[in-house]
Amino acid sequence: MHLNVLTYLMIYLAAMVLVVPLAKRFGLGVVLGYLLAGIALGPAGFAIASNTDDIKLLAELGVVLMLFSIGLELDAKKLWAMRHRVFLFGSLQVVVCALGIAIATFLLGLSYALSVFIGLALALSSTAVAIQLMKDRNLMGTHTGQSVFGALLLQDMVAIPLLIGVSLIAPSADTAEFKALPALAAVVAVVLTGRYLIGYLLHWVAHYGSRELFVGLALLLVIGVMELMTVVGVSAGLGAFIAGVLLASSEFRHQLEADLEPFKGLFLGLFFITIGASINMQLLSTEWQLISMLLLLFVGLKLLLLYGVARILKIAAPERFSYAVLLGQGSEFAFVLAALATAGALLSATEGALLNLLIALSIAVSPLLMKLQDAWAVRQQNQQPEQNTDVENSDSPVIIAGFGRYGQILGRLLLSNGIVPTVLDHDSDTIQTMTKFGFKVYYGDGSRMDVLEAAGAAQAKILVIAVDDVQAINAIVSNAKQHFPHLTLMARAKDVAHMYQLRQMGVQHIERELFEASLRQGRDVLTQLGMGQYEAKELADRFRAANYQLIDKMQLVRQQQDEKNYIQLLKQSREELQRQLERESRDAPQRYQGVHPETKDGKNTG
Amino acid sequence: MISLLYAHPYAHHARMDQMMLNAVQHWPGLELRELYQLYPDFYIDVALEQKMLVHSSAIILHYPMQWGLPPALLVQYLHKVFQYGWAYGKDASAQSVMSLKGKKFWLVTNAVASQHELDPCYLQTMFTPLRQLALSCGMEWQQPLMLPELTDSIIATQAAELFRQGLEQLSSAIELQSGSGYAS
Repeated sequence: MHLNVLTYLMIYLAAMVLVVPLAKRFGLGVVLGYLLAGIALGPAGFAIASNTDDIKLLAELGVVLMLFSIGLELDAKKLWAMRHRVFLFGSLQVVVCALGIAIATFLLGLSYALSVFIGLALALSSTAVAIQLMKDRNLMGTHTGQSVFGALLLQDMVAIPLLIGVSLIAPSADTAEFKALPALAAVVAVVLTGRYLIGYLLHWVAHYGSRELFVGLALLLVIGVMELMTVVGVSAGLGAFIAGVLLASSEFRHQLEADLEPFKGLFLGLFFITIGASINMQLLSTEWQLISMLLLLFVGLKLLLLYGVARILKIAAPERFSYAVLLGQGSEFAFVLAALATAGALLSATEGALLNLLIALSIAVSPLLMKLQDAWAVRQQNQQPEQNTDVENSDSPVIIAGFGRYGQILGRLLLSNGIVPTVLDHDSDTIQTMTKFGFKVYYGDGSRMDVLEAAGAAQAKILVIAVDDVQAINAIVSNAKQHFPHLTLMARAKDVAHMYQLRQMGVQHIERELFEASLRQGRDVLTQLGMGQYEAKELADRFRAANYQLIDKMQLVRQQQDEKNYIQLLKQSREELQRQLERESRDAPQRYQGVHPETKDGKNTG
Repeated sequence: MISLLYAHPYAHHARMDQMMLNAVQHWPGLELRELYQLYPDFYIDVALEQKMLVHSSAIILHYPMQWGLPPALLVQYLHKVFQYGWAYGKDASAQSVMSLKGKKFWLVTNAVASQHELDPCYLQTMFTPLRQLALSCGMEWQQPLMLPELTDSIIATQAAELFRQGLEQLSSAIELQSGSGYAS
């Protein structure tokens, strides 16, 4: 039966829509969900993934889009700041893992050259998997996350000479040709166009084109880079990453990111599905003993090596295992390498299939291991207070969850007045810096009961929730409400809507993160316009009071009325309050010390 | 130097005060400080204010009076800056201190007539707390300038003139003293 691309796409999308929510429902995570969907579609399941070449191309686009959007988040300056992480830490990771795995394969009786090849191939990790896992856990900004990312970047670079090497040692028909000069020229071309031409093009399209044309241009950009890089034999992902970095300082950055986001998600999903579909279940069922042994050996060894690397990189002990797990699977490049090696008769067909299976399974195991790591971290946190806390601190009356800009100002105010708060954060870099300043900082996520307990929630009086993510704030609130009802909760709210949410959850002390700062600056605008300092302060105070009044009133209405009424009432009340505000602010100076005849006419504006 | 401390929450709307301040603002050696402009949040830089006062030979408080009381920020100022152990009382080594000793202390104010017309004795007693403050701090009490309520621009002009004259007297008194080597 010959089906066209669209039919395949439909089947894949249907599988995604059905299986992924189920996997998520049972706590398996998105990546594992896609892999399962892939297995279901593969030869062992409904066997409808037979002609996957076209889909694979789209799937690869997912990975490329992901690297492009990562590039968008890193401008040249940030990248330069990461150079040690990429070149030093990254090479260390690749060398250690390649050496370790090569020695192991050599001991298993394979030839010297083959051992080196397998060592290098398996030292690489899956960028897609690692980054997806990190995004799920909000780890990208942490020291660990950055180290993982640095290693992934270097791997993408290492993959190029690896591919060349294999095609030199074992030449075959379908070897992607790598020509040093054209490759260099292509990279330079990407850099130059990205730096100079594309900015103008984006401007032009944004100005003369329509919204969907901009999306089109963004896709064209990425696919163009991908094609170019494939032709010259450079990793398409690396090319896209470079293009992303070049556009990171462009004013269209956010637009590009938002426009490509849905494509990225879908195609990345396809990528995981194709991996799932490529798992050779037949081979697995006949050789399951050998394969499970090899898998255990490979994953175990790689985790061990990576754990060692993490130690050298001075990653905090509780995060070392997560560093290892994040990088502890086979890479999507390894599939390509295995295919090349098989075609070039470096590996036998069975060996190639075995290697393929091993990589696919290690990718499948990764999300599971990550779940295991979560559980392990919980236990670790439980043990920590005994080892790591001085008694004085664990009965600090204040716990601050989240130590970014918001939490730091608050914490410094407390510290400067002799109150040492217990601080929770999930970034080991922040933890190290802040510990120097005398804070007691714990690694951990406040939405977990055991973490709060370790931080001394049972003895504390106040829990300040200063995290910047709405979901995380809510999770911490409900956790604290449930397990430590005695705590006074003081929460940071993103906006009014979030404020209502928090109020409904029973939080009494809520501060909108931007409200006070904006009000303060508004006050300064008034004084710059010539109003008296105190008068401006009073107006700002009055505005604040009116704002809270409106919020209180609307909360009642919100609970009772339907949406339509709510909006209408909101408008009415806002106008009413506005009038009241204007009346009062006009009156205040004039009523002071009695009404002066001259100022009665209200012409007086100071 | 003469410190003129002006306290009015809505200075921009107080026309008579504006005219008065305009009349004297370029007075040689006069340092005008608008308290509600400097400390709208009532957080007063005590050390700075004390330093300024120490370097002044006269301190003028210019404020509107309500119910016989100065504005809240001026009261806050008097509480915070005219501290025990600095303006009066004893310091750490149990020595008596009067950092403002000998400085002239002059009040310039206006009151709302309708608030005081019931009791004619009221005007006499109104300055008692501030007079006591001057006494405790060793400052020289000057006869306060009590201005009428503003009803038209003629009164405002007169008020400005009265203020200018008072300042002239104060300045020549200071000069006389420093000529005889008395004042700081």
